Amino acid sequence: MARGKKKEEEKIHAPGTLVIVFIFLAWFIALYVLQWALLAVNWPIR
Amino acid sequence: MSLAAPERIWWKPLGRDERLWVWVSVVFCLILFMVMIAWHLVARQTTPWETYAVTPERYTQITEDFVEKYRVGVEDGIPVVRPPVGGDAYLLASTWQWYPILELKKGQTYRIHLSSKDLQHGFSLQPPNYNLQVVPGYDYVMKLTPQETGEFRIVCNEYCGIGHHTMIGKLIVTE
Amino acid sequence: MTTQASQANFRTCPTTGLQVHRPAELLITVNAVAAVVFLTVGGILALLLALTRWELVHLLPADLFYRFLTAHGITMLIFWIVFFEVAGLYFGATVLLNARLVTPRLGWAAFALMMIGALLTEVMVFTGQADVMFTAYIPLKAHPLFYLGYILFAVGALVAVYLFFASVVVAKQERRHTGSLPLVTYGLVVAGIIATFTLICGAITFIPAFFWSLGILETYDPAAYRLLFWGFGHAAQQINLAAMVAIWYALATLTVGAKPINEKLSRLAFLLYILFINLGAIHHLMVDPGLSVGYKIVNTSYLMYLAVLGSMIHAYSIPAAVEVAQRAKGYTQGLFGWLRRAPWGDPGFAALVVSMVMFGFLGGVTGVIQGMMQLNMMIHNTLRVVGHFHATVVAGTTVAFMGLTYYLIPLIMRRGLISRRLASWQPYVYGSGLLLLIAGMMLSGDIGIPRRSWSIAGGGFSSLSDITLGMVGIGAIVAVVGGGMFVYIAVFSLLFGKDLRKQS
Repeated sequence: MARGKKKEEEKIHAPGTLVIVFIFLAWFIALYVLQWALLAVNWPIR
Repeated sequence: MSLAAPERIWWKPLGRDERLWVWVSVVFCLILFMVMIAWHLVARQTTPWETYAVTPERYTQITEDFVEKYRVGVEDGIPVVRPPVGGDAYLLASTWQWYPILELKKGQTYRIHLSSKDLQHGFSLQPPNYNLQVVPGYDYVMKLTPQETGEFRIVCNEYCGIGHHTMIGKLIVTE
Repeated sequence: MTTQASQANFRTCPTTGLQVHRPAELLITVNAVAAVVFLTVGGILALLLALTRWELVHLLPADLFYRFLTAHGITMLIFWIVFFEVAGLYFGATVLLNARLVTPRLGWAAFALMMIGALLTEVMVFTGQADVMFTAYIPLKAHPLFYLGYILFAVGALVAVYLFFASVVVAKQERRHTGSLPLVTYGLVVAGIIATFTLICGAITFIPAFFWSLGILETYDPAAYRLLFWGFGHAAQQINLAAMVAIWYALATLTVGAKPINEKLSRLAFLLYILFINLGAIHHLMVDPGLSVGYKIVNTSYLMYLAVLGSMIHAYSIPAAVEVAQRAKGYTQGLFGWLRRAPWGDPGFAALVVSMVMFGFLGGVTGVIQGMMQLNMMIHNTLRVVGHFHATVVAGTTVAFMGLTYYLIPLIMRRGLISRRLASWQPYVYGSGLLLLIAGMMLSGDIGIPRRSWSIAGGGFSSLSDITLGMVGIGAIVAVVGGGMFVYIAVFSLLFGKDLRKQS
């Protein structure tokens, strides 16, 4: 393959890290949504 | 080795997983940004922005006039004031007192003015847990609509000297 | 100037083969030692403060509480951190580049200025002439020498940062190294650029404050002061961020031999910090009067969260580098075999993991969330804010600095660790104490408990505060034990550790 060399460089095999960062993202989103929910039920203020 | 010089040419394409994560992050960041703007435009709770310049002396005078006009009682030496429904109310912070005690009606929207006579103070309404900065020279206006009846505390949460923790005021909401 | 003469100032590191400039080595040691002294003072104050906020104990009287709180904030956020950062900058510019510190005398002048400034400020605070907190919000007034101390310290630190840049440039000119800068030095250059902005902001903030306190300047607008101050106060913590991430890369290399998976990506992420991170200085002004909504949103979001993007990239690329290095060693079993077989008993690796996890999951996430303009209304000036910056500056930056110290002691100060076993436990003990402390602070903040308050009696807070403030107290005790372990190891290794000079 002509693009063989490029393929070689792209081979970073870190599946465990990908799982970790997506757990991190899920935690981030959970806290984020919770915080907006707390504000949404609070007294109206502008 | 992040401690030594990299290879001569380090400008290389990203791997598949890296591209995935970078794009997910970019989209996530844009969502965070958009939500903040959208929330400001449509939601019932957003940070007050209306501000006027006012000298501490002038603001104190305005508050005194307001208290004079709408006073309905007194509690521990601090006047209780019932502002007109849906109208302007003034709250003056000074070391170490919130003045006066406001009596509001549930479900009505008031324009509550905040400013300080001396130092910076922190307006912290408990338990709703709304916190705004009170800066001398600035009249900060919030449009607040109480949702529950009862007595609420206004705690000072900006350090203002040795008596800071004793600076606790009151807000009354009636049916 | 003869290169022959200056060459005599170098020694060859027996472990790494790098050329180490002796005058630089001495300055690194002196700055790091000063940092640890301030850390010790700040740590003792931390315990007293936490045991006061734990209302069941309520140790200190109100006046001492506020005085010590002022001292704790300044000592930790500025003096401990910046002295250590100066040591780190000198390390990055000399040892990593095989090069010399261009004018060591300027380094000593910087150190003297910083030390005089720091001591001046400390004396003013401890003698009760500056009970104004770290922030010293106008119109709260302190003794003029308090501001002068801040100014001298900022000028001294600016000189040190300049010396760092000069050394990096000269190293290149003298061909002490070839090619691009090592990633860690690159990260430290980023920290240096952010530091320049920060320290200039500090000077702009405190010079008028100094004249105002003398009565020469009649008025100083309190809102303008807030804007300027946070350009210094928050930006100072962004120096930590950049330096900490650089040290993460360093620790990943030192402990498992990790190599950045993509230099381009990591460097771009650092570049995003330079361009956008300091917009976040506005986080403290989200509920201030006088600023427009557009101004608040653009700044608080670091212009569409581009600095957050930088952190998200590091959050992937550092663990990925560790994973790739571990897999290359044959630890390929399953998804997490590489992690199970990681050197958990290496104090540097333990510090790396504690720092990254606590910074990311607690500090970074809450920082972004509470910087949202509207959400900040329910967070501003509560203990939630304090929880956030203990997760970033203490659990993140301080733990990373401690981890690096375990390597600096043998490599630079050339002493064996007095107890490697104790060192390998230290990050875990410190981290678990901090976890309890931070969780307690954040939960306290969520029920509205204010920061910087001697007592919350009469505030009508939920009785849950007994539990959450108790967590703060107990967490602080454990964390101070962990911090004490670090100070013990650092000081005793330096004084009584095995002398490694004799071996080489």
